[in-house]
Amino acid sequence: MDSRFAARARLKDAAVLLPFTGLFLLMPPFIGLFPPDARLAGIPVMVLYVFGVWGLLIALAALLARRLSASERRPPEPPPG
Amino acid sequence: MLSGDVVLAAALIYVALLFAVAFFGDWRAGQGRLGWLSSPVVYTLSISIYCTSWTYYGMVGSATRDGIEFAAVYIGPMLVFIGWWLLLRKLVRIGRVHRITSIADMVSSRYGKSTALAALVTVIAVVASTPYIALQLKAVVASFEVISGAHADGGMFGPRGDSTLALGVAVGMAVFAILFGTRNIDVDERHHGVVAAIALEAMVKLVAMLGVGLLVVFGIADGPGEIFAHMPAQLLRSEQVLGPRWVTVVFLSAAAVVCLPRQFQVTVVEIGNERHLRTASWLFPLYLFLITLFVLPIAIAGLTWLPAGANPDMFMLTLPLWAQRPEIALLAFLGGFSAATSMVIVAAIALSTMVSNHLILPVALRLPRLSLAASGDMRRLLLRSRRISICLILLLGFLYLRLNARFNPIASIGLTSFAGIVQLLPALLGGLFWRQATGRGAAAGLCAGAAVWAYTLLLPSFKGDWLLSAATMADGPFGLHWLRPYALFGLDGLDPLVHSVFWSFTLNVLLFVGVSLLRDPKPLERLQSALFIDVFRDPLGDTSRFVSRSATTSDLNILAQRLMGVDEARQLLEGGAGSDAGANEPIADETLIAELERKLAGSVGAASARAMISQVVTGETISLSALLRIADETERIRAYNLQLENQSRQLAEAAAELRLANERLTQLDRQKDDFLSHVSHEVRTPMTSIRSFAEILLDSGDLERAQVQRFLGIIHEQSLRMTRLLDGILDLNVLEDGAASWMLTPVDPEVALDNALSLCEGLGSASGVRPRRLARLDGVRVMADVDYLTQVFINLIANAIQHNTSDAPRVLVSSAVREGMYVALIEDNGPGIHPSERERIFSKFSRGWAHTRSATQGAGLGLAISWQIMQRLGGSLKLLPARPGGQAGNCFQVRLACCPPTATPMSTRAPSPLAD
Repeated sequence: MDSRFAARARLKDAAVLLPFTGLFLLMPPFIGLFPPDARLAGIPVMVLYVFGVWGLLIALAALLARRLSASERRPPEPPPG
Repeated sequence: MLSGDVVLAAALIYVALLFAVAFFGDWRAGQGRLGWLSSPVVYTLSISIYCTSWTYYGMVGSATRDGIEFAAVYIGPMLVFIGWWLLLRKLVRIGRVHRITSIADMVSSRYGKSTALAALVTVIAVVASTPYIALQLKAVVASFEVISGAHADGGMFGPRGDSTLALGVAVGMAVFAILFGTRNIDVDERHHGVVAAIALEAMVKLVAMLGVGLLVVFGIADGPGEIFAHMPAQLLRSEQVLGPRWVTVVFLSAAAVVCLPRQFQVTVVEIGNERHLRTASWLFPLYLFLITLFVLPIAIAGLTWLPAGANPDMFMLTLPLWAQRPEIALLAFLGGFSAATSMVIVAAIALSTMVSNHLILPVALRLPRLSLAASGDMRRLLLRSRRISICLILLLGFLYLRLNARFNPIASIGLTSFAGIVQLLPALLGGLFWRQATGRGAAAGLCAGAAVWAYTLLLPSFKGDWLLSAATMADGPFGLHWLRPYALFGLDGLDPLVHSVFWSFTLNVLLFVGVSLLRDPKPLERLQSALFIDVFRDPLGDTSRFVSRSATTSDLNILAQRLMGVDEARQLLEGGAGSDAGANEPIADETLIAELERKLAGSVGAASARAMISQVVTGETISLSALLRIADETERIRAYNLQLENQSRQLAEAAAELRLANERLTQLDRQKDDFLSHVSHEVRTPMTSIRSFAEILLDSGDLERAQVQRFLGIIHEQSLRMTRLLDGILDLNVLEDGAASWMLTPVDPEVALDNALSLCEGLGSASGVRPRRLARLDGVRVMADVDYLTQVFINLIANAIQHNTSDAPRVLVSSAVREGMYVALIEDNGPGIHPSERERIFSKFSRGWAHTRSATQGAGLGLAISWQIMQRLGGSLKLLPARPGGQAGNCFQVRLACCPPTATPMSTRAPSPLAD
């Protein structure tokens, strides 16, 4: 029981942390690290970076949503009023 | 180029399809078969009305000017949704629990169901949304012109003829919104038909966007590499793009996706199941990701291949046309049409709900003809007011278009709108997380923020045509230089958007916080803040604990009937609320009143519901003390939990200590029992023989003298043995008691050893053992009592002699000084102590030599006494481990610390061995 609560607490923390991670990665000064001229396979690295982080955050959010649903199934939440 | 008729026909067919879908959705919902209508995917698609024609057309235009800046408009919402746990989850839960109908309802409900605040939020929302709606109309008209070739260059909406088209579009949208948005006054304000239609439109938008994108990247160009090879070098000027404007736009869009009335409508009001939010948390960002993926390629392609001067806002259409792909152009047109119509319809519904609930109804309630005393169905009034509101809102958008939209690119209109609506954010967030926030603070902040926004961004967007003249823009009103709209208070050189957001938001937050701190919240505000902030803790539950008011049941019945119809009203009054508060009671209690108010709030908003209820209830009081108690309860529970945790830890420690002490006590008890049984056993044996011999002597008078002598000898010997035993016990008691302190003086231990040896001489000669003494030491001094030390040596030597049953018994006594310790060894070659007994050899009555067949049976106290003495002397007595493979026998070691010969006599009180 304890370990399940602990796992759920960790998930909640991750859910809170995720948007701030995204904010950090997509805000200056960090996002300014990618020079506009650098290219990878013809595509500007900055564009790749922005969309790459975006995709990564989506994947993490999906994973988190699934885990949260799974962990919630056992201890039921109070029903919406 | 497509003919205008074809395009119009396609558009009309598409609109007919939308009507059909909406009708089908409503019909299914009416049948109670929601099915896919309330699935998380449809929910997510309905949220995608965030992507309006601004996204669809304007984003490409924005990308041609500012490169990747367009992405910021989608990064903000993406962050809000992947962070749903923080904010959206709470919003949705509150929305469902309190039957919130709109963002104005949310804000006013939180701040004591204030009618004035609701009206203020409504006005700001309408004003801020108007440019946005105008933008959609403009986009539809412009796209129609482009695709049908009305303006070959894609020129923007002229002031003249095409008003008809814009008006036509506006009217069509109004009809749709009225048909499906105001069919009835829902209890839960959900519009399944509208949601079904906008979900379809969301799909069309996405497919069209991807279609054009794929055409550009793989049809016109040869993969993304070629596209980006054509990219103008200045398009990704990161140092300019990724500066304050980037941060501002991310912030604006993040706030807007929560505060925009239409977003609030689809995200909070229309949600069927809170779990849908979980899916939307990643599915909506994915939708945004897909729809923005091709924006930059399309922008680059347009700049590269289309003639210079082509309107970048219309690249979505002009590129497929240029590539001779009219079918894709038509798809793109329908996509843009979808984006515009879905947004306008939902915005119109959301805003009309707000206008009718918070502007029209409060006024109507004051009119004598409509007040509660008059009879009649109020639902008709509500529906009518909503329909009129929809028309008014679209009309406003149309007028803004006529006034303004000639000059501004789509994206800048959209951001203007965002900056206005974002003024709701402090009041909303403060209401969700800050207990001290008050309605006055919210109103002050909203007024200031909205005013600054209008002055620095909205009015200047008319480029000096309306209210603000060009001269005022340049020099400030009345020549007041520090009031220039683009450089307020002398803050010059900032981007107008950043400048406006900075000032409006700063003033908004400052006033909100400052005014909130001036006064305590009113009781109702306090109650609502607790209900909102602690929505997940749910400590309040039934508010009837805090509010007491009463009304006659018949009054409530009339009110309920006028808004909910006869059937539902009866249902509510008879069974819905609390079993004891039925329609039979003449006076209704708080439970029933609260239930009715909640139901009413679901259709007219909290503020109007409260106003209506207030007309019929009397004697309302809110128990502030009960409320404060509850508000503090969570804090107290937390503190209490902490305290409990501490206490339980302390208890556990105490319990462990007690257990240990108990064990020690039981052990002591057992030792005492053992001791007593040993003693009685030891006493009984000699007593028995004394008694029996005494009896023999008494009974038989004719014994021989020698016999008598022998018997008396035995009696004497046994009594001596008993005396020894009792002496030993007494000695041990004295030692263990440790009460008396001993006078320790520097003595020569060798003297004690000499004494012991000489005293044991007799014993030794009787057993035929002569203890051998190795070299005697000189000048050693230890702190000790010489008599006690002698006794220790006597005990050890006597044991060695008496229990030595070997054929050639030997006892070796040696002494030495090692590392400042005086060490004496008494060794024998006897049978030794049995290994299993070695551990307990120094405890009372242990018979280490029980297995030897020695003649003398000791009392089993000698070693225990010796050990005690050595403890009291501060030294030690040990049985050295048997030498492996060596000869049998024991080796006892006595150790005492040496002291310098000059040491003065000192008193010491050695620790009692039982105590540690």
